[in-house]
Amino acid sequence: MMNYSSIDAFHEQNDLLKLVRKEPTHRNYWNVYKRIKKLDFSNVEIPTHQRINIALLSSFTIDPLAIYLDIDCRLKGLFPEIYIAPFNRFQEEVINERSGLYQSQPDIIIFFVEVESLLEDMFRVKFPQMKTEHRQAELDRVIQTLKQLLTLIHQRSESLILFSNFILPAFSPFGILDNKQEIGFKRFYQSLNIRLEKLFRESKQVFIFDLNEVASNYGKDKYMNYPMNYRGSLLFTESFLPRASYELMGYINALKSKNRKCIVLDLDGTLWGGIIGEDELDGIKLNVTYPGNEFMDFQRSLLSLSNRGVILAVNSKNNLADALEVFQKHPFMLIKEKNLAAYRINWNDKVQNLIELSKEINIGLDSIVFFDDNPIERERIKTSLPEVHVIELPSSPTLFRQTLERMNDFNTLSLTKEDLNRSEMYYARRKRQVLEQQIQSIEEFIKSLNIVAKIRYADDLVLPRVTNLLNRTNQFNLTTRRYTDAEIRQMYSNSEKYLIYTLEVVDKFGHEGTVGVAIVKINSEDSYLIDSFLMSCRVIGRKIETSFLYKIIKDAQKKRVKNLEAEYIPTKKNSLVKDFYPKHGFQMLEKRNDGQSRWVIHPLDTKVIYPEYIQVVEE
Amino acid sequence: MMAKAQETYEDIICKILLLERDMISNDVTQEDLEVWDSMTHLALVSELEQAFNIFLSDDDILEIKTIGDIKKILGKYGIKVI
Repeated sequence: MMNYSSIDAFHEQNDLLKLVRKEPTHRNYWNVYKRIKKLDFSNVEIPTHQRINIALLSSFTIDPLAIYLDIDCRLKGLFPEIYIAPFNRFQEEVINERSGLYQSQPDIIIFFVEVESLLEDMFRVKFPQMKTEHRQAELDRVIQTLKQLLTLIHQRSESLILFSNFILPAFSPFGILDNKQEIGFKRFYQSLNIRLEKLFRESKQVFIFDLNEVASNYGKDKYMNYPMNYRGSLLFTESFLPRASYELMGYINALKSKNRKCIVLDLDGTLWGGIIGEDELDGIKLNVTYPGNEFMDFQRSLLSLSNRGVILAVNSKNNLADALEVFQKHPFMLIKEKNLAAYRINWNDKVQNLIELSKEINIGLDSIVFFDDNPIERERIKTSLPEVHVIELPSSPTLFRQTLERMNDFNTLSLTKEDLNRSEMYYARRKRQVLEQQIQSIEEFIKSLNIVAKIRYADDLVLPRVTNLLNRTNQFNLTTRRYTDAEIRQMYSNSEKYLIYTLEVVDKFGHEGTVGVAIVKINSEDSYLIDSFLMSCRVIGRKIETSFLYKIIKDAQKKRVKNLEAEYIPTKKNSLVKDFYPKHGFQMLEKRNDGQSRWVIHPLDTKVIYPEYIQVVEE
Repeated sequence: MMAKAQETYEDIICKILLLERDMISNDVTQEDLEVWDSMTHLALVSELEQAFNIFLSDDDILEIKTIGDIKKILGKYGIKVI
């Protein structure tokens, strides 16, 4: 049951979370945390799968980490209750059956214990003069204490237990001689960690959280907050807190089934460099040496995840045959068709494709991670399918592997109740059906892009690009006539006979550059012919092609041209545009046996209305 | 430069002490604000130190009892805010 104030609390929480999403600074986390704590959720019934009780036990003040854990859970749609045990009372909390720890009924108990809290104050002082046996005895004693403690909690609670291991000190009194000792100062910590891991390797309940590694990855010089540790026993620097929380979320997501199960991949520019439809099998970048080795290496990491159970799938705008040829024939294509749970390789909307994929694989959209190098496609998915985790891929493919490997989304615990019950399955199915009805239309999407199409006559500077596009474009190319630079310059200087148009596209994500070319041949005063018309496939599907064509019709209208003719010459690659002219009101003049066709439109009888939402700049 | 320091200062005070900008005044004391406990005190110190690249002495930290005190301490380190 919800009353109005609870609904307000939900809304207010969402508004507050926007601040940390936008700017995840410590100040903002603090502020948002404190404000959310004041909201009243008392009358809200939060479903069990969204609740999580967390208990933090530590030898230092752990409250700042609780702020990050709390907010990071909320960002994942969870409603956490965090119990923070009194400062440095972790042993008493475990031993006392009536402690706050057990009363809080935690789903997960996280320990942050400095080994120093289990050793005498003068340990560091005495260590250099301790005999090896003495050091060994101290090791055994610490392990024994922890074993007893964790065994006790294991008997009393069913919750998941995370015990942070010990951060190896950067300092040793022995300096460069530390590893010449049988049990050096650093080795002492290292041995503890190894023994801890061994002790619980078989446990399905106790997990050793590798805090030493997390701190190492972050930087041993930066994780510890010396001033604040003395002032208030705050061990971690503020900048380390988000990293620690991020790593802990790996466990929480797995526990609460918030983990992702499937990676959906684009092809061109994502799994290989270049465009298969344009560059052909031997032209795409996929190789053992640079350029291309970065894509191969990215594929290795994907396959590594695939081999541990992460599902791979493909969602790409391409001719199916072109793309499959890469999977089947390219010598350096490591991912094969058999590694894919499903694929959608077509010219359809990627949102629709993703929904179909999720149905075919039978997983929720909230289990999907989407990799695509094209920011427009990413934005489209993000706005239409917010449950899908869309990866902000760096613009350089040399960073793809790192981006993938930094993800913490594919974790599973053997502890999780894997066998989802049937009702949940039907629930997911129902949710998907509702979602389908809510999909943002392609029109709405185009509208949100703020596209500006700049159409102008080619000038000197753009001619090299014109030649380049004429010779490279295969798919959105009506006649596929190839011209040399010299031929183009010839046409350019003969403006009585030829009009060369260029199309430049800008949208809210930035500049696409010159992406389209049209050459209009002036046969006579009242008869023009569209000799060439082509566009880079990067911008297809946004109705820009219509604006471009209409501009040519409009210009012909102004010149009072009676017949504007056009041709379609089929090739292996350009079936995409076979209906381009009839779709835009052209009538057929002739169709030859080889598939070539000629079309005409009468500009003077044609009313030209540019597609909505695309601003055409005519120059 | 001045404007930036002022902006940062106000942002810290507002966000850590949960105040609106027009509520910032010299005579707001630690006792006035429920949120201003020892933890908040340290968070405040830490934010100021990092934002202005300064290091407060133990006395500075103990002396801060009001928003006015914060300004005074910042002034000591050459950071002028109003």
